[in-house]
Amino acid sequence: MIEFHDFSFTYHGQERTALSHVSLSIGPGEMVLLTGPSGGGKTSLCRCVNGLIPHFHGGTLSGRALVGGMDITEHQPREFATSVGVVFQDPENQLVGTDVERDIAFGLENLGLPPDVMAQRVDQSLAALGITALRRNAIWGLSGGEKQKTVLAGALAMRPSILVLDEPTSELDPLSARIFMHTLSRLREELQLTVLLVEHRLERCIEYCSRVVVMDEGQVVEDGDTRSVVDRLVAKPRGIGIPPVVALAAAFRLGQIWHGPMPLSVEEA
Amino acid sequence: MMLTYRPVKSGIHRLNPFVMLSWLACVLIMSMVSQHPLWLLGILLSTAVIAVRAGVVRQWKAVMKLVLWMAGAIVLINAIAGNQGSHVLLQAAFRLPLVGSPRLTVEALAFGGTMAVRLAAIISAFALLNLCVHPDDLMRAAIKLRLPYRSVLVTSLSVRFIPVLMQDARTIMDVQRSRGLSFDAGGLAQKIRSRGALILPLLANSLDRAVMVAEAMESRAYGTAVQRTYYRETRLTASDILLMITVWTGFVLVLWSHFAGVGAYTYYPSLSSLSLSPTGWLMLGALCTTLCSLAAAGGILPERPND
Repeated sequence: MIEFHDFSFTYHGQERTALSHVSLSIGPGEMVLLTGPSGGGKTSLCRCVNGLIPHFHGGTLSGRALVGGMDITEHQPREFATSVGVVFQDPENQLVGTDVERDIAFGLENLGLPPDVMAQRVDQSLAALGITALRRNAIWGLSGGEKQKTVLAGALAMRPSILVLDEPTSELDPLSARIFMHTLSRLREELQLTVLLVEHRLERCIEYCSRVVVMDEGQVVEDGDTRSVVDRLVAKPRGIGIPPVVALAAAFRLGQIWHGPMPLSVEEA
Repeated sequence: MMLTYRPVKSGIHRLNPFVMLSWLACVLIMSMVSQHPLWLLGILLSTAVIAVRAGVVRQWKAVMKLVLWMAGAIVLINAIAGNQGSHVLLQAAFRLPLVGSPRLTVEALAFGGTMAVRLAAIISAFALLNLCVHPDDLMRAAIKLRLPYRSVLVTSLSVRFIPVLMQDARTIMDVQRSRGLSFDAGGLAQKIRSRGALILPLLANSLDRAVMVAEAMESRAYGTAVQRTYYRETRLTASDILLMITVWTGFVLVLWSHFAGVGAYTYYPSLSSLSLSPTGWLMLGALCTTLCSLAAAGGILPERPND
């Protein structure tokens, strides 16, 4: 679904390599957590998945990146719009419409879909995110969380098979973040989505992801199933905040109090 | 933000944007064509009726308060600059080059007052269009009128980001104040310099935002080479067309009156009588009725399709 083969990229006018010899393969239906310290290359990798790199953010690249079998160097971001839904960190900069439903319909209008199909998709996206009541609300009156959901609804309305979410819970309080992650997990199952989730607050999302990729200084430094990567991160945190429940379990393990598998959530513990 | 759209459940808000645009065009042209103070007052009052019916009186009043200042300025400038008129109230004892001896006349005051009413009517109509028609509806109407989509989208985005820009400005000012900068201290030069600490980061922020918005739009298929469609189409119904005909009928009557000399009024050298001929009264009634027809029709029109 998403394949990077020895992929490197440097932004125009910068000496530091944003992505360095990245080799990564994400299969259909996977929910992958991409994490790592700031400046590690997570956002740059997200930008590659729908071709914003290299078409929107120019620079020098080497290697190969294929998304849904399409080479990102040969296809424009707008060609990926129906297969890759992207939600960036700041929802404020992604809302184009003046009210919720018109914003969700923006991408569909660009695709030239008939109004009745658009109405159906807008309704479904609003219902999927539980924001039907907000459909006529003005964008400037929404809370941060409502804006995040509106952006995600706009991405889902395009019926993508891949969803790239760059810190989607950044505007949410812990409880709202949990509800959001639960909704996302449900949607992934219902819609058979491949999800690439960028997040550095592991405690918010780790239990929902089957695989964790850690990036640092533009390189993939860890890649594996969630539990094994967490085990390795406990030994070598790589600048990532370990969830308290994991840290506690690690301390119990060290003291020979705990011998079971590393818990990923309080419920598991 | 007194001029931004107010989502009120009113008959006026339910009107088709083309009907509102027609009404605006008629108010504009009628205000420009009409000379008689009573006619201009009639136009202004008919916009007030629309404001009441639309439930935006508070916002409309705020705009009109600003207009009062402008009206005062117009009357004052006209009284000072206008040297014509036969009924002199005051005459200066000195002479100015080219102008001669400045004098205040009843005619100049009346002319300035009428110009102020004209301006008030025009601004009132524009304010009501902004308050009662959703920006997206206006955008769609503009596209239907063959305006380029890109230009319309840029305008719509500008409106959308005004509150964001204001919030950014407030945040930057708070940050700069917490660093010890005072925006109000010192003389004019100092104030201008301190504003630089607001404007430069605000500009940099806005440029960053613009890039991110473009990135998001590109990710949502903006610029795809297919024919763009619209989530909500603006379709004219029979009642919309009837309303537009009603409004334009009023305009035609005013135009006919203008050329037929009905409702004519002269300010110089001396003021004409304010009284109107029976035809003049009839035309004034017709003018007000057609302009206020929106207020009556908005209440009985059904919800628009897609609304």
